[in-house]
Formats: sequence, C-alpha cells, structure tokens
Amino acid sequence: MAAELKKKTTKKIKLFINNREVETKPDSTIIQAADSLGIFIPRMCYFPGLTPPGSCRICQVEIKGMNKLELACKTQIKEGMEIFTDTDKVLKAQKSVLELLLIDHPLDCPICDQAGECILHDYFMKIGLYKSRFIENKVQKPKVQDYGKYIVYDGERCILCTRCIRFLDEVSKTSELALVERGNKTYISIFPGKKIDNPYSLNVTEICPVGALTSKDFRFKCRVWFLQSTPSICPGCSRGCNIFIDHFKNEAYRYRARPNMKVNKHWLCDDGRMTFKIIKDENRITSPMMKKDGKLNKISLQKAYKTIVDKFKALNKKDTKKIYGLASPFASNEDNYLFVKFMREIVGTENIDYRISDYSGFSDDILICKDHTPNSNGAENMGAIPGKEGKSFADLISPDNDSRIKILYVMDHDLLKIMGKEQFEIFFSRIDTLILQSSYPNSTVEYADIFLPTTLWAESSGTFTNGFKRIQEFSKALEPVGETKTHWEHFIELSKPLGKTFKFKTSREITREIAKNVKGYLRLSEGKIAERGVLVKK
Amino acid sequence: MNSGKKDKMEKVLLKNIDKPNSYNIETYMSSGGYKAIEKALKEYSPDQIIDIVKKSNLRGRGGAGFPTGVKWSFMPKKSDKPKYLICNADEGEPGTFKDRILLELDPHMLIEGMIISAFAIGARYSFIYIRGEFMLGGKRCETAIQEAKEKGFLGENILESGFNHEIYVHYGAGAYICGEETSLMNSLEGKRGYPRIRPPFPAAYGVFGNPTTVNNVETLANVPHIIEKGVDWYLSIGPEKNNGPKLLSVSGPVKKPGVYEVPMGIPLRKVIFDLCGGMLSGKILKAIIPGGSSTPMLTMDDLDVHMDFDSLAKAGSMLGSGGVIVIDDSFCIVRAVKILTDFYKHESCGQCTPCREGLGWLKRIMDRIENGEGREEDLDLLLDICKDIEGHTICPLADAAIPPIRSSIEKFRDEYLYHIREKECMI
Amino acid sequence: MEFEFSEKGKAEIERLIEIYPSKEAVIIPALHIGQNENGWVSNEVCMTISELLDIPAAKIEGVASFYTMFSRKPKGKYWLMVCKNISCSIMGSEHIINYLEQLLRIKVGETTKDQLFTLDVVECLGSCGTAPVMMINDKYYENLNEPKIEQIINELREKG
Repeated sequence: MAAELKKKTTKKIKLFINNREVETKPDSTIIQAADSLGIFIPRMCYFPGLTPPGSCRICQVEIKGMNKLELACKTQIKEGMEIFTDTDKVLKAQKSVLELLLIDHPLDCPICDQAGECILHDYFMKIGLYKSRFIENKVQKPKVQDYGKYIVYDGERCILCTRCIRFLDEVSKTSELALVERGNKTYISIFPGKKIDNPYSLNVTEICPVGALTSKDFRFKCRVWFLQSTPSICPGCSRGCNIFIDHFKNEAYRYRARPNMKVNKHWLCDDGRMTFKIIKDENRITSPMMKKDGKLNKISLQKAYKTIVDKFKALNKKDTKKIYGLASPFASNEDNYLFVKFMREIVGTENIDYRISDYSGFSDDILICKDHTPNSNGAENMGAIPGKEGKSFADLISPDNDSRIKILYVMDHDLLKIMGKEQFEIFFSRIDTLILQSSYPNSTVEYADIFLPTTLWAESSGTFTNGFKRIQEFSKALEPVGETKTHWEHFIELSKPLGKTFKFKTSREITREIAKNVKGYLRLSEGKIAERGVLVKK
Repeated sequence: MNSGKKDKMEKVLLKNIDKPNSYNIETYMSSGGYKAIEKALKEYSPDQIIDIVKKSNLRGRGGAGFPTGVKWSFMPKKSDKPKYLICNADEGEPGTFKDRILLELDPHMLIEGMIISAFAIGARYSFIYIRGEFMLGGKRCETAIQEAKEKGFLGENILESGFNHEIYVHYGAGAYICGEETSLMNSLEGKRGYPRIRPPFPAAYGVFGNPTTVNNVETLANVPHIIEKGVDWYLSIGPEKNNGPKLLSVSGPVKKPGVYEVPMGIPLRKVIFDLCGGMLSGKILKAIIPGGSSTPMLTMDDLDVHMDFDSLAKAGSMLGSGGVIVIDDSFCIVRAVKILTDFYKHESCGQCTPCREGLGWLKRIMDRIENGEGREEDLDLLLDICKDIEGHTICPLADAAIPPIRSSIEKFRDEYLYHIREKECMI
Repeated sequence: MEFEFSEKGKAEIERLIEIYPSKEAVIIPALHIGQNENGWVSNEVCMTISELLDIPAAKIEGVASFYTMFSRKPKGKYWLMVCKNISCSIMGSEHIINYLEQLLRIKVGETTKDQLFTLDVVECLGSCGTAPVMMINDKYYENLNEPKIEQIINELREKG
C-alpha cells in the first residue's frame, strides 16, 4: 500500500517546453515547472514562497493556441500544453521589459553593493545587449533611506518588484513596508517612525534583486565576486537553518539562505545571520592556557595535553566515579561522539551530561526555536547523558550534594555565567581540576586549570541534529585561527597517551562510525549526506 | 442599416432632466418611473430578463461596448457567497460627462435600472462607485436611495417578489484607473486602485471575493426602458447590432457643447453641425476625438461616419464612451497629444512595468517635442515604444494611451515635423 | 499632536464598519472624513485610522498617497483644482491658471500666506461641456472666465 500511495503522489503530467517533451508534477505554474526542469525563464516579481503579483511582465511565454503572451508565474500547467520560452516574440517582450526598467535606473553600479549579483546586470548580459535609446532626464526618488536596524532603501534603484512588501506581509506578517505614490513616482516606504524591526528583516535585502534594499552590516564591505560560498548550518537555534557562509580571505562577511523546504524554506532570521560575528569576536581565546600561581599563562598545546593526561593518570580506578564530563549542545555530533567515547572507554566514567543550562530563548512559529543551541538532539543521540551508574549534572549541583569532583571536563559551557559568581564559586570549591575546552568566548576560563582553544562550527565540518531530528551537514568554510583545534581533534590527541588511540583522520570518518554505532543514524553511511539532511530513523 | 429611422427620437434617458427637482422621486414617478420595476419583478424571472437584455443588443456604455446581457450571463446561477452589482460611476475618460448628468439630475432612473439588473443576476447588494469629485451626484444618489427605500423599492421582499436588495454609495478619491472594473473593486475594498490579473474574472471572484458584475451608469439607465417599452422598440433604434439611445458628450469650440441623447448611428456631422450648432465663430474644425480621449483621432474627412460601435471601428476609431472632443485649427495637435499623454502617465497606477515606465518615457518625449527639443527619430521611437507596451499590460490603460499618439502621428505628421524642424509650434 | 475624529466622524466610521464586509474597505471613506476634519491627510490622521481599523499604518499611507483627492501636505481653506485636460485646455484653461496665479500671487502647487487658497491643476473633472472648469473643495465652478473667477475669489475672501 505504501508503494501505491507513493505512486499516487508523484504522478506526473506530460507537456512540451520548446518542443521538448517533459514530465513534471501537476499543480504548478509554468515558472515552477521550468525551474524544476532547469529551463530558464526570467523573473523579477516572482519569488518562491511568496504570492506572485504578475506585475513585472518579464516572465511572459508563448503558449500554442493563445494569441497573447501569457505569464509563466500565473499560468497553471496542463497536460499536453505546448510552451515556448525562446521565440522571437518572447525574447522581444523580455528585452522590452528590461529596457523599460533600465530607463530610469540610476548609474549607481560603481557604488552599489548589488553589483555582481544584480538581476538587471545578469539579464542584460543574457537577454538584453541592446544599445540604449533613452535620452531623457531620469526620475528622482528618495535615496539612502534608513528603514530599520539593518535596512537601507534606495528608491531610484528599486524596480518595484514588491518582493519585500510581500515577504513582510506573508512571512514575517509585520507589514512595515507599503507602496506609496502612483505611476512612475511610486516607491516603497515605511510609515514615518515605524521602522522595520522584526526578527526577519534582513531577508528583504537578500531577496531584493537589485540594490534597492541593502544590509547596513554588509554595505561597502566586500565585492560579491570575491566571495566564496560554503554550505553550512546556522548555530543560532535548534532549527538548523541551512546557510551559505560567504567569505573572502578567511573572513566571513554574510550568510545567504540555502533553500531547504523541510527546514527554513528560503529564509533566515536576523540573529541567526549575525552568528558569524562570533568568529572574529575579540574575546575568543585561541591559545591553550594553564593556571599557575593563580594566574593564567599561555602554554603550548603539547604541554596542555601532557598536563591533562597527567591529571587523568594520577587518579585511580575508584576515582573515576568522581570524574564528570559536560558535553556540548553547541558542538557537532562528531565532537560529542568522540567525547562520550573518550569519557566512557578511556576515562571509564558514566557521568556525562549535555544538559547544563536552559539555553532557551525567544521563539516564534516562523523559524526561531525555543532551544537556542544547534545540537541538543545530536548530543543526546551521541550518548551524552549519564549511564546507568552515572550522575547527571542536575544531581551534581543539587543543593545537598557536596561531594568532591576530581576532574570536571567541560565542553563550551560558561559555568560562571550560567550559575553566577556566588553559586559558581561554591561549586568550584568542590572541584580539584577544571578542564575547559571552548569554541565560544568563555568567562569561566579565569577559573580553569587548563584551557584548550577550540574551533567554531564554521572552521570545521561535521553534522548537527536539529530540533526536529534532522541530521544536517555543515562544511568547513574558514581556516582555524590561532592554535584552535576541533573538539574531536583534542580528544584524539588525548586518547593516544591514555592507552587507546582513536584512529580518525577526518570528521567524515567519525560520521561513518556514528552511522554504524548510533541508533537511527544509519543513513549517514551513504556516499553523500543528502543536501536536505536526513531524518533520524526511528 | 439606416440610422435615419429614428432621427427625431423621443427622449428616454434624458426625459426628466429639464424638469424642476428632476431628482425627486415624485417627479420621477409622476412621469412613469418605477413602472418597469414592477413589470420586471412581477412578470419575469431573472433568466428571462437576462434574455431580454441579450436580445436587445444593449452594449456597455462605459467604453468597452461589451454586450450587457452576455456579461450578466457570466454570473453563477447559484452561489454560497452573496452576489454584487456595481454601478461604475467613476466617469473619468476625458471628454465624457454624460453619467454626471444622470447621477445629478435623474438618479432614480439609475436606481430603477440597478434594481432590475440586480434582480436579473441575483445580486443581494449593489454599490454605486462614484468618483470622489462628483460630490453632488453622490449626495443626490444617497437621497434617492433613501426615497426608493421608503417607497418599498429597496429593502426586503421588494414589491412582494421575495427579492431583497440594498444599494450603497461609495465615493472614490481621484484616480482615473478606478474606472477599470477590477481596479474599482480593489479601490472599493480599501486598497490602492491596482487592476487585477484575470482569470479569475469578476463573475467568479469579484468584490470581497464575491461574484460581481460591473456596469456603467448609462448602461443601467437603459434597462428600465428596455423592460417597459420592449425589445422590439429598442431594436428599432440604430443600425443592426448597435441599438438604443446613446448619450454623447460634446465638448470643445462648438456653439452648444453638452450632453445629447441621440439614436445610435447618428452621423458625426449631424452631431457637430446640427445638434451643437456648428463651430464657434472664427473656429475651423481640424480634428475630432469621437469616443473619449482613448479613441483614435478623426479628421474632416471622417465627418460622415456614423456614431455607433461597428461603424466607428470600421473607420479606424471607436465609439468608446461617446465623448466627442472637437479640436479646432487654432489648437496645436502636438500640444493636445502632450496634454493627453500627461494625463495617462499621471493616471497610471504603476503596477506593471510596461505602463509605468513606458508612459513615463512617452510623456518625456512628448514634452521635448512640444518644447522644441524634438528629433526626427522621436516619431519612430514613440511608435516603437507604443508597440512594445501594447497588449503586454495587466489592464488596458496603457493601450488607451496609444491611440492619441499613433493616430495623430499618422494624420497630423506635419505638425510634429514642424515642431521638430522649426523648434516651435505651427500655430 | 494626535488627531482624533469628531463624535460625528467616529459615529460615521462605526456605521460604515457595520456595512462593509471588511474593515479595510472603510479606509477610503475614513480618509475622506479625516481630510474634511483635519484639512489634510497628515501622518496623525493615518495613525488614527490605522488604529481604528487595525490596519498597518504603512498601508494607510499607501492608500492615501495613491489618490489625488487626498493631500499629504497642509492645504489652504479653499483648495482650487483647475482642470488642465484636453477640452478645458482647448477652451482656455491655461489662461485661467495664469490668471489665478496672478490674482492669488502664488504658483501652481502653492498656498497663499493667509492659508486661505491652495492652487493646483488636476485632470479631467467630468464637466468638459462647460469648460474651463475648476473645483473648489467639493463644488464645481464651470464656464469660467476672468470676471467670474474674480467674483468667486472675492466672495471666498469675504467669507474668510
């Protein structure tokens, strides 16, 4: 029956595009069908996920049996339809729309951020290439308008595609923008005093096909043709929105949304977009540190590893019950897997937990999830919870627990910040050795005996499992800074002298082992992890 | 067919306007008003009325000339949602001022026509969408609606027929585009007057998403007469397929400009030189725009054309809204076309690229030519731009801007060339 | 300074909210009432309508700025709108406009210092048979010539 149902939902219809017979799923418009088949139809006002207004007129196509050209964004496909996207009539109509949009377009290109990803440039090179015949004075409209925390608007560059308005009406449902005036005096405006300040504002700068809406954060920072794009996952919350990190010379400049209909559709939230700022945060510690005489000193990685190994070797078997490992919902599955393996198989303790603090925050029914960590589910699935004989973190810090802690090995958590100075110092007084291994700036480092500097997600590859149990891969975009290494690289280094060498050279190798050993993660053994991620199998 | 049949046609549409207090219900009823509604509701079914109107060949008087009975038959017979009739009283086509007369001086004729039409299409509610500037007309309609209600012609169970109906007056706020039926509906809904893409058509999805028919004031005013006097009477006026009385608005340097009720098919020459008394002294006829500014210009050579849909179409123009604009030879054609191009550009709603940008471009070229900065290639450029935008827009406003330019370049090219070569006006 | 509708205005808007199937449809009637009471459609008028009808303020501004009859600038007590379209032009509207500019000592688009008159040109008013035509507030003045205009202006000046 399942096979039958599958067949029903994927029944395709046959039609002809440019005399070529194609098959595609019904219930779509011509432009959606063309997109799914990789056939080019120019568009300006159409954007997937938003209601098409049919106002730019550039997506006109010829349909056999119809006199006038029809809009690809508004016309539903039918069985046997014969569509033409490249006849003379169609090309002339496209050229004409382009020409009309360019007549009043300002020659801002040398200072416009959109250059390099501008739809007018791209289309001119593809379907324009005509000599201009416009000699009139251009219409003037408001420029460099401050429309919000992140948004600048230029009315002269605006082609009135209204993608931004429709986004704010239909997705963020905040409606800060509207068309004002009439005819070719029309431009897009906020109501005086009511700026765009919703959590999704930057999407409008991304979907704007020209330089009308630009991001204050990215303006004038880098020409887009220098940027390299690496697919990754936003670490801001457990939604795990798919992103591209755009970077140049080992510096990240911005994110762009990577469309994934199962996770974030075409959008990202503003806070998520700004998570790349942490990579260059001046409070990141990129050298190993060790406390001596109450002061923190920089030491070599070799020394740091040796010191940690010695601390472990100094303990005897019955002490293992007093060793605690705090795994990280900020770190990848590979990081957590290897930590759990290290703590269980090498150190021999079952006191592992990733649930250290309530990292929850603002959430809504659009993208932002309550859990503001990227990998809580992954940490749990990797086994970062106490074993039968193990104690949880909640037990550990319960008010009537004053037992000694021989070694507390912490990944990422800023315990000082979480518990507050008073409470933390009480807790800290029970700890013999505090080992801290953090990617993020961490104020607890003042109290750490040893600190190992760790890479952020953008500086390594790995997988996160989001709040909806989808395992998603992120790729390394930037080179690690200073002496930072991934969490899992640290554990490999520590494993060697402690008797059981972990033999992993790449994160992919760890992923393969996870696929073999972790329940529900079997699909990660496939050649290439699906671009859209895979669900944890029940 | 011969239009000479009913040259001396007895006034039907304008029969009351010269009476004192013509807009009062007493005046209307004392001259036989509200008899047709009784006949319609008591003797006919809605479908029968649609049939009668179809047979009469009544064609839309707003400008498009679409057969009214056919438009009514697009409405669904049964509908979960309430059906609407909208009277398009957004008269904005330059040269046209006939609806204003009816609204101000005989609103009851319109209301009677609306009630019968609403009955035919099964509409529960009607709106009179009246342009905001016609404040007096609007107020007269509001009063007339109240009077009609008091006499039982509106409200519940009208004349014991089981038919319920309400009419509301809604004022526009100054936008020619709102005369286009889908723009009108958006405006009524409180939005910017942007026309809608069709499909869906108003009969399927109209105002507030309900099945809607939009008819012009004059069209609706014809309906009571068709019911009362019958199809045969209506067909006896005008040539084949172009029947009934027509209101022509004549403006320009003629002795007696104004609104004239004529039989369809009356020769243009008769209108100007007979009814209107000819040109003002010293003025020589140069050009005529026969059906409102969106219709191609005619010259002295076309004076014998008959004023009906088909004859004018054959002559290369249109009856449109019947707004006859007379231009004399002391008025520069280039200036006339610049004024009209300004108008269309100013009234473009701005929704779609070809109209918004195209009309803006056309306007600036016309300005340049008028100011003596034109070039010879500008004429071909104008025609080219017209070709580029024609038929590619959401609504016909851009198409309407083209005839003045195209027909004037064709028929008065010498005036343009003079502007371009001599850098000043020929006049 | 905020704008509040008069009791009468508010009552009318309430009445309209009952009639129309959607609150949005009351925007244009409310803007008419607001302009009548406030003299022009200011930001405050837009805000008040936005709150009354529960529609984002930007959309209200979008509607107000689309229609010619709504002014987004302060207007004089008497808003003169002279038609400049084809029939009126043929019948001499240019002279009328020039004459008014001289008489009122302002240019088209401006308001007299005493805030009494604003002079604007508009498109076809639908009264071409009695060209040249102008509208002052909600009244039509037709078959204009210089003496008539002078009389009209004087009468309005006396009224104040």
